Amino acid sequence: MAKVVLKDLDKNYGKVVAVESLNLTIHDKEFFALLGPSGCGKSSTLRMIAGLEELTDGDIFFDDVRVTDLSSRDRDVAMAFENYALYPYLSVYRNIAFPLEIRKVSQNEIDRKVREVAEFMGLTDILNQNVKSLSGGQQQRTGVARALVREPSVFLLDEPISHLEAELRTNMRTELQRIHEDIKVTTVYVTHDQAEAMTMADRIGIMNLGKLQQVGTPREIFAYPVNEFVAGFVGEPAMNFLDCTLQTEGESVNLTTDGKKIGFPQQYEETIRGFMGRELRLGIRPSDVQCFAGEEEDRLIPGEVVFVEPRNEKVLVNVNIGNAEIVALADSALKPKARTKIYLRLIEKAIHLFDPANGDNLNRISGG
Amino acid sequence: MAKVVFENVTKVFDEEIAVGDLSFECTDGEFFVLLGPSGAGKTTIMNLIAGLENVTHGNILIDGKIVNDVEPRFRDIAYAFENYSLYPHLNVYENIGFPLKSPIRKGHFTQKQIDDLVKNVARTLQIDQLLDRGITQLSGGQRQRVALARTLTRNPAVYLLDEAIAHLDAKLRHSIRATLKGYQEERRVTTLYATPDQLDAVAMSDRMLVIQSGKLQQVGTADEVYRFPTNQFVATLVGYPQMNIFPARLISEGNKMLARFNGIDLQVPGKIKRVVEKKAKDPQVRLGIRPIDMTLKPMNDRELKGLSGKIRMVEHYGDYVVYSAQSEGHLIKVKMEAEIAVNVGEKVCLEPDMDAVYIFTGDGEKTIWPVRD
Repeated sequence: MAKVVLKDLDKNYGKVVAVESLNLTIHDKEFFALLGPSGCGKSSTLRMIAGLEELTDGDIFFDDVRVTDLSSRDRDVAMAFENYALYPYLSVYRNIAFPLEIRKVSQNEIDRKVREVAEFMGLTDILNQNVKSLSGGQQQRTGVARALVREPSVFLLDEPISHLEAELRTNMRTELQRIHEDIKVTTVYVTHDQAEAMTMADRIGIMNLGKLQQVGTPREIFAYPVNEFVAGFVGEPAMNFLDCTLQTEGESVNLTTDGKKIGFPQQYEETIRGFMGRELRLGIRPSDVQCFAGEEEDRLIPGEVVFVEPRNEKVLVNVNIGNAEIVALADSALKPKARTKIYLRLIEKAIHLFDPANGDNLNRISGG
Repeated sequence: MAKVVFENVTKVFDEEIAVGDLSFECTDGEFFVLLGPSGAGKTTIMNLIAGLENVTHGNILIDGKIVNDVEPRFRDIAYAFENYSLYPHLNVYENIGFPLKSPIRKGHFTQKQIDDLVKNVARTLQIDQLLDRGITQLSGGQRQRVALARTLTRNPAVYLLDEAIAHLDAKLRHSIRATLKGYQEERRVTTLYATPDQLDAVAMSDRMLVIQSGKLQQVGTADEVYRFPTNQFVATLVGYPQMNIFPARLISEGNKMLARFNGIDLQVPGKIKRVVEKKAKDPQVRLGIRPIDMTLKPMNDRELKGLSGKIRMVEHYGDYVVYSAQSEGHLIKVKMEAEIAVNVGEKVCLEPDMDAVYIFTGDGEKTIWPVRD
């Protein structure tokens, strides 16, 4: 059991900056996801926590004990990799026992622990099989069992399930959550898949270009993204973005895009004042775009259906509105057809506004 | 342009039936998806069409002609393999252009035409910035798009695409799906696309063929397969999260029909009752309820009308939340558009919308309800 604190972490590979002034506290017993695109620095960060990578600068603490200079084996961490790194010609039993054998644990103790963790991971029946003969899911479970058998205080997972096929991935997701629920060990989980992070993690840290962008619960990150990168990275189908302008028309203030009126998002009333007449980036999720077959009132944006992607009870409608393409998630009962006219309404309270200069959410402060 | 027909095709490998007595017709210009879990026989079907495997029994027809004995290179097929099969010594550009320079197409294209084709399709698949790269410098997702591009530069009678976008991340998969579907709609080349991912099938197919253990389960449009699955297997394969399945016993009480599960009686609506009475030979059935057709309430909210369970897991997808609740031996999934205030470990009440129920035979092999009018 341990709290993990990263303080002003820097990692350079030659001239390449992989991680830049990273500050982060991962709570004891937390399931924490480090999320980001490939090359964002998340794996480097994990490897520094593991002690497999030296820091260029900064410090790492486990429960207020500085571990920066400790070797990997002295840090009491266990890591399961994407490619499992199992010994293919050894049995499941020997693979799980391996980390205990090199630590000179007694034979009786090894046997007890291996059987216990095998039982827990559903591997009891295949303990004597060679790893090579196992299915992908069984190998994955063996990899996790081998990491767990050491009873580490921090459990590190690097894209452990990203290469499994969809159904197995869903099952493993459930299984990893169950394991975490039962053993409650601090877990850091690296992934590029936002759905994995969203559905599994207590909190998420999103990285891009070596920098931590935002830390929060899945709900906070989805509802209050601090910048355009986070807003676009989290959520599937992805958020729509378009350029708009803040304009006054008599008494009323409105956002417009390409001359079409969008409305006014009340939640930005405080922050938007200084942006009068200026260009802004507007973000809206596909589920917050409503589709209509006919025109009504003045806040409907006309467009043409480009492409329709059915999704069981819902359908994704790609709409060309002239200056941008907008994706809307509509009820499949709407049955929109390609190359027909459609009218869109952006739900005002779901609009996000970003500063085009730096991508920051204009409500960054109030949004946390 | 070609129609692809299977007539009672069986393929046996070492006494194991990979494809059993399979008949289907993929019409000219159709986007036809083969949907099934790994090991279902999808790749074998592709290989049979391509001529990389020979049928054990039955006939394969392309454009009305039996092709059982026609060599692969004369079948006019472009095949994107799941494992890419790229040339590591060639760069991306050369890999994509390779089939166009093949000796059997000598003189078909000028250098300029090849250049246009390669650059066009590379742009379509968002790999135009990688054309000079070596294959070994690419990620799995990039390699897969190169393999797909190499296939799409050709204009054959049939495209065979085997899990052609499986290694792309979710975002890219979404955009490439749209691209691929648009590309196919424009050119109308008959396309067979194999995938284990129901979202691929639902998003792109004109029709899909659902297959399990080499046996055809259903052929239909995405809408048909979702609304009228022929059995439990199809019902649980299409739709996310997976349909919940409960064993239940049908009981008549006065003029009511009840479905009893875990000691709870759920009333079967009248219109369903009339059909079920005629069709169900055995009162032991399975009920299917999609997660979107269940509601979840805190236990104290109101008296218990449905099932009770304990929350095991809460998954935030942003737009919606999926709750998994343990009810006796069953893990029941509920998809809610708005979050409700329950925590892991809390007891909840689960109410199925019985108007949206599916009823299968006790072995799950046949759908009793819903039936098409």
